[in-house]
Amino acid sequence: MTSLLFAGFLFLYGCAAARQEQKSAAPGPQGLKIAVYPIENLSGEPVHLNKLRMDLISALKSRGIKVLDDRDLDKFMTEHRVRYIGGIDAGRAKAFKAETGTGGVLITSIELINEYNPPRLSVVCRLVSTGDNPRILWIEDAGMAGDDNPGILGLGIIDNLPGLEKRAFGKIAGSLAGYLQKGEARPVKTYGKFSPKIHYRSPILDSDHAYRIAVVPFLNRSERKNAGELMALHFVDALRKAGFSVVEPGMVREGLLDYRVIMEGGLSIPNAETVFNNLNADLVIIGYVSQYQDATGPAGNPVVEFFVNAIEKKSMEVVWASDSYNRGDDGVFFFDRGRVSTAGVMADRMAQAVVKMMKIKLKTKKSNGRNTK
Amino acid sequence: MCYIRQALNPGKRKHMFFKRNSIFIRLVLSVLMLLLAGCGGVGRGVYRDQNMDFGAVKTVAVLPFENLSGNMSSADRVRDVFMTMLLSTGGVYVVPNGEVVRGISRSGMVNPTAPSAEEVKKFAGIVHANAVVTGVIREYGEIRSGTSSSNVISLSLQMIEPESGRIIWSAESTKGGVTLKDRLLGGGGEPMDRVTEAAVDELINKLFR
Repeated sequence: MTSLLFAGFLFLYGCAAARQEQKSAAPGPQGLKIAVYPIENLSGEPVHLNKLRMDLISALKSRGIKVLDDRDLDKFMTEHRVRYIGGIDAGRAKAFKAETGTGGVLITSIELINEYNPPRLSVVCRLVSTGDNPRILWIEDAGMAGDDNPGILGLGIIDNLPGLEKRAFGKIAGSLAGYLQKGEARPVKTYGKFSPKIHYRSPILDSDHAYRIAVVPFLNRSERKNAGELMALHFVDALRKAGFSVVEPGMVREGLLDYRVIMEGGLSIPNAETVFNNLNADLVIIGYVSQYQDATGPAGNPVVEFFVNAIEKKSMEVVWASDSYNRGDDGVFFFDRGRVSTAGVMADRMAQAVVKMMKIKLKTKKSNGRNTK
Repeated sequence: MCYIRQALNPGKRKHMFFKRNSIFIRLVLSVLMLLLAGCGGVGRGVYRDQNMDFGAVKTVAVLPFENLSGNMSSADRVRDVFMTMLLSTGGVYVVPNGEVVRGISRSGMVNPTAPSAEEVKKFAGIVHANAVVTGVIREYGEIRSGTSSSNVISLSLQMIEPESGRIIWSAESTKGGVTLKDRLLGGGGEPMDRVTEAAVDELINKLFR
């Protein structure tokens, strides 16, 4: 009897962990023609990027999405000397609209690609508007491993990378098509187990204020290449999905380069002022990635640990600070149910948990005010 | 004859009893003193300047910690945990890391892990801090004892008052290590993050006590 009650409690706990949060919906830009940028490789390993891009374009076209012809894209990129493909700055966004007539640019970053034992793929895509004021219209990530859903007798296992690619790009194309038709993105799940372990939220941070947020690349203290850029990208994803206005990372990069902001060990107050004034932001998010490790082999676990600080424009103070760390098997008790197989998916869920806590007004604690979990 | 003399003089008999058992009594007293010292753990490993008004400390800057452990990244990780936990108390404001780096650079601090009184004064003036914290990571990572292994952390922190350059608070904490449970059941002990959190929590309790 006791064991039955215990099992029931665990099941209920598992159900309560995934709460759904509906995103703000906006009317969809139907019939929008988009340019698919060359894929940015943040995996740290050589990848057949052209083939992946062709597969992505095929998936988009199969959903009826209009894509700018490659010859026109190459011509534009040559004329404007586009070298950075991880974002778009204000000047090029304006030129895109004027010269090619596209309404948006699809920027894709490959986070992880692993062909064997089991195959793993993690990719983040975002659609940025062209014209005078480029903004992130839509963002989606797809991270999966071949053994995520083994099913009965292992029939659901995907043992080859093309099969996994098809599923990942199908998810992305479906989400983008949904956005373009209805202006709605998929609902976001938040998981309590990925919440930060320590956090500070200043009373200055107003939950009702519509902040415009700039996410500066995180400082990478991990052994994983490009972990700082990846973590920043996951925060852009989480913030945008939570309904915040997020400055396009390409514009943040342009601002940091133009004003020669060197972030040695973090963002100083004068540097933060520069970011606020030139990017018209109210909050700047910066952090450090301590661990960003993908699973090795079928039994391995991803590990992610990061620290986040948010500096507010008016007070020039840190209004949010948190420390998050998780392993892929956290909160997993039976049959690998709820196990996360890629660091990208886990980082995304952890970022979503941080953003959710930033939004909610916390109840004041009487003790010493310490907010530890 | 001797017994008759002792019976006639009871005071001397008592004196003889203490003289004979003096070693035993000393031993018992020593053990008692040791036990009492063990019970008095409240102030152990902590120094607080009694003349300092800690209520006046509103802004704290945390300098990079010195790393004496084998783990290269331990000092940065522990410092980040300490800064976040100190900020989360809501008692003090902690200067962000980027601002600390700017302060170190502008003050011309030669060794940020062990600054001089003049350097601390100059640095605190730049970052507008009322107190500066320095620290040393003595041990961080996995230890082994026989077939058992566990995670351990040992660190000490100091708080310096910038105007005078005096140490106003100093504390140490050691957490983790191989326990009886680890020896019997194995499992590698608590994860490093939890051990670090426990040690930093203890230090912050010592600061705010």
